[in-house]
Amino acid sequence: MKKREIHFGASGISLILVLFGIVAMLLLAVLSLSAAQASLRLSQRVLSSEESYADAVSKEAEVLAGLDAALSSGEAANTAAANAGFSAKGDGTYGIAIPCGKTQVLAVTVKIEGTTVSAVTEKTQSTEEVTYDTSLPVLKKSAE
Amino acid sequence: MHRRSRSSLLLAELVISIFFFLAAAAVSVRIFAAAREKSDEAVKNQNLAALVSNCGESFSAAEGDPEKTLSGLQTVYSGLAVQGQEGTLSLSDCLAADAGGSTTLSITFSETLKGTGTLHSMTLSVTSPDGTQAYSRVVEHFRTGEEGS
Repeated sequence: MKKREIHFGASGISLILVLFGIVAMLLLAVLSLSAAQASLRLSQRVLSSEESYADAVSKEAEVLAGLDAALSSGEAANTAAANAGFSAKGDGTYGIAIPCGKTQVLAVTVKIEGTTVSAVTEKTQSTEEVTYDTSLPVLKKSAE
Repeated sequence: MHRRSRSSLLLAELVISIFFFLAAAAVSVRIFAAAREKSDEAVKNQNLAALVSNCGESFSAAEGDPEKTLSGLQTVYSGLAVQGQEGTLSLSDCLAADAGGSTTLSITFSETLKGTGTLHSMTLSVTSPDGTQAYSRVVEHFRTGEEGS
């Protein structure tokens, strides 16, 4: 009886396996690159946001210094505040919105007493309407 | 004859497999290297963002006082060397991408009298190993005359 020989290599299966390995390897590499790219973009936005905030705080300091200098030179509170870019609020305080990045402002409220100016509140506010996706359970919980 | 053709077929398959594998491996290594580079850059950006944030917060909390600012920063960055009103930090540990280790951050302070108060400035500058300034940022804080007294 003649025995039938099986030549595994010559049947092409090994080539198919190698090709599969190659595709898997390339796919992993591309996924890794894609993840790194996303991480880089996010880090750039974080850095840009921090820089914008630092710039806004510095701008606030300069505005307050200008206002203080105007007040100490004998300028009236309303005029000095208006010249520095502040708008008067009803309760005797003055407010200014300093741009902080593309979608935020640093809202500063100051109080003027005689020739002294002091910051009352200081907070970042979004300039865009934000609609949160509450379909995610994590946001639902925090909303409650 | 039949056996010889079969073995040559096997050899051809082996050669083709090795060729494709090597080509794909070379491409993959390049892609992985690019990913690693981007990842390092991302870590560097994140650390730089943390640095700007920490320095800014410490400066504001200390109301522009250089000594208090540097003292506050030393609790975060233990390697921060303080000399007078200037702080120096080697960024080899802080910025992962700078394997060279000679990239340094220097923090300097200045103040200008404005009106009744003082405008305090803090300058952060990162110097590359080749001596060029890679990054710079100024943070300011205004302290009125009454706050200072």
